[in-house]
This record gives sequence, structure tokens and C-alpha cells, in this order.
Amino acid sequence: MAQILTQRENEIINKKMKGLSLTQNESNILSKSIRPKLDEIKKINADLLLNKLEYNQKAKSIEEKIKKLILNNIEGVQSIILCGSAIQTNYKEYNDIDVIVATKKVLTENKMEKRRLIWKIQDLAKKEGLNLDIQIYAEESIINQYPSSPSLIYQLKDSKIIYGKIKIPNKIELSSWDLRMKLDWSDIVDAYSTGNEIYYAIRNIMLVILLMNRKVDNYELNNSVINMLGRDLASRLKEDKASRIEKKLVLNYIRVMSNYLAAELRTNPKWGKIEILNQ
Amino acid sequence: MGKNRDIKSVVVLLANTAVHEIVAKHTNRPESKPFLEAEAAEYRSQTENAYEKYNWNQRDKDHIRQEAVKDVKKVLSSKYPDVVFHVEEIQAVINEEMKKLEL
Repeated sequence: MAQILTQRENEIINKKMKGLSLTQNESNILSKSIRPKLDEIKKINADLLLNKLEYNQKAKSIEEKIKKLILNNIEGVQSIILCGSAIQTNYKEYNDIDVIVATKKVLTENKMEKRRLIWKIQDLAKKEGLNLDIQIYAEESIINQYPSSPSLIYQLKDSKIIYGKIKIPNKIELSSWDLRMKLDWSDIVDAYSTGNEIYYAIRNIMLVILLMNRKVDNYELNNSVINMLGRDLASRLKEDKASRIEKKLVLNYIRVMSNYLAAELRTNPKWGKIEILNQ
Repeated sequence: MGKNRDIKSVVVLLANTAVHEIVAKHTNRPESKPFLEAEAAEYRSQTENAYEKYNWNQRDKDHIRQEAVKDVKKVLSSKYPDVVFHVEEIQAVINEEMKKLEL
């Protein structure tokens, strides 16, 4: 069996739990080795990691297809990055696969041309049974935006590079401006919005709250939305099956939270600069 | 969705594009500029998607323009009172964005 704590450390834990007094040396081991190890263990989401480590035959074939589609249709690809629920769940629970394509230089200034290219690849992917959500950026743009882009920070957290490489900055440095701008996405929903749009508006708010707490954790983000709404309502919103009254209640909550957070970010100087070390 | 509802969507998205353009221009934090500009571009792209649904007549366009200007003023004063800008900028940015939509 793999051991995280040594036999000596286990003995010290047992001694401490029995209420016996520790020697100076044992106390040192407890504070300098045992506690730091336990603190590190706490940060690990073992279920998530095991899920990711599990071999999934489907994954290799899907990723090969995506790589081929992108490389055959886009010039000057620097790297292909997959992110979102497909990657986070090792292709077990997902609606679409989020693909970020980093190009060596700006592909085109013509937005329509870029959009047509994305549609073309998405159509080709559909024929292969893949539902892709593709974003194309110049590599430089990704690197410049990353430290202050809440969306990119979260997208790239549990991402997988399937082609090439990209050097993501280690340091995240957000300002209250960045988070206020992110919050604005939650203000565009209204009673006519779909349940899915409302779901993502509340997820957006939770993402801002987590970043204010210096956390970049997709698993915690999903859980916090479920804890907030309840699993049933979260599912109904995602599937656009929520009733009008449910949508109205969530919208009211979004308004209250968004206004509160925006005011807090604007007026409290502690949010001027939020530094997070990218691990 | 009805046309009135689509007009409202265009107005909200257009206003957000303009708000982000103005904030990106006046932010005192240059590191945030690439992100703020990218956000404005993302709103612009969504505005284009919503705008493309109809062939708007001149009355619709004027209405969108006026409502968007009102919205920008409202958002900037309620959410970004700390941004210093000239009021005339709002009209200019909305006009510029409308021009881009027509291309």
C-alpha cells in the first residue's frame, strides 16, 4: 500500500490523539512535516484526479479527430487547447467540447471570415459526431489577456493541450475592473432569457466570488452553483426546463448579488489588486 | 422571440460594447486593457449576431441608437461612477459601433 505518512509520523498522530504528551522532537515533526502534509492533502480532489487519470479509449480518438480538423483547416496553428466539462470529466459528462486554437499570428482582421471558418469546422466536426465550441486567438493575445481575464483563467485551469505548446503566465493579477467587467455578463439576462443563459449568469457571479477569494477551481465553481440553487433547479435551468417563477427568483438573486458585488469591488480598496499564483 | 424583444437584446449588447470600450479607454490600469478590449470585442460579436437577424428600417436604427445611449449613461453612472469621461463620447462610441454593425 502506498504511504503518505511515514510509520513514525503515524505513531506521533496516534500518540497525540490519545492525549499523550509529545517530546520536543515529536512536536517538531508534527508541525513541520505532518501538518503541512495534511494541509496539502486537503487541497487535492482525489475523486476528480482519479477520474482524470482513468484511461478513456474515447478520449484519444476524439482528440485525434479534433487535431486533424483544426490543422487541416486553420493555417499557422501554434497550439490546440481543450477545456471545459469534456476535459474536466474525462469525456463522461459534457454537451460540447470547448476548443481554443492559438495561432502564431492574427489569423484575419475580418471577423466574418473568422466566423465562417469556425462554422465550417463546426459543420465538419458534426459529421464526425463532435459538437465543438471553437475560439481562435493569436497566441500573443491569449498570453496578454490571461492575467486579467477571469474567463480565460478558469478555462485554462483544467485544460489539455493536444497540439503544440503555450506558455501560460504563472502569475494572475486581477483588478477590481476585471471582475466588474466580468460581472456585467450577468446583467444581460432578463425574463426572456433561456434557463441556460440564466444558469451561466449565476455561474458567472460565483466565478467572481471565487476569484475574490483567490480560488481558481472549476470543481468548486460547479459545486457552488449547485449549493446555491440546489441540484434540481440547476439541472432544470441548464436544460431550459425551469418554470417562469423559478427563473424570476434566480434573476432577482442575480440582480441583488451583481449590484452588491459591483459596489463592493468599486468601493473597497482591498480589491484593487488580486494576486493569485497559478499552480 | 418578437422583434421588440430582439431590439431590446441588441440595445443591451450594444450598450455593453460601448461601456467596455469607454472603460477600456479610460482605465488607469494598462495591464487590464487587452482583456477589457477583448471583452468589448466579445460583446460586439454578440451584438452582430443579434443585429443580423433583421433588416432594420431607419426608425428601428434610430430607436436602437437612442436607447443604447440611454443605457450606456445608466450603466456608467450606476456601475462605473469612478470612470471619468466626456458625455459626448457616449454618442460618438455608439455611432461608431452602429457603423460597424452596418458593414
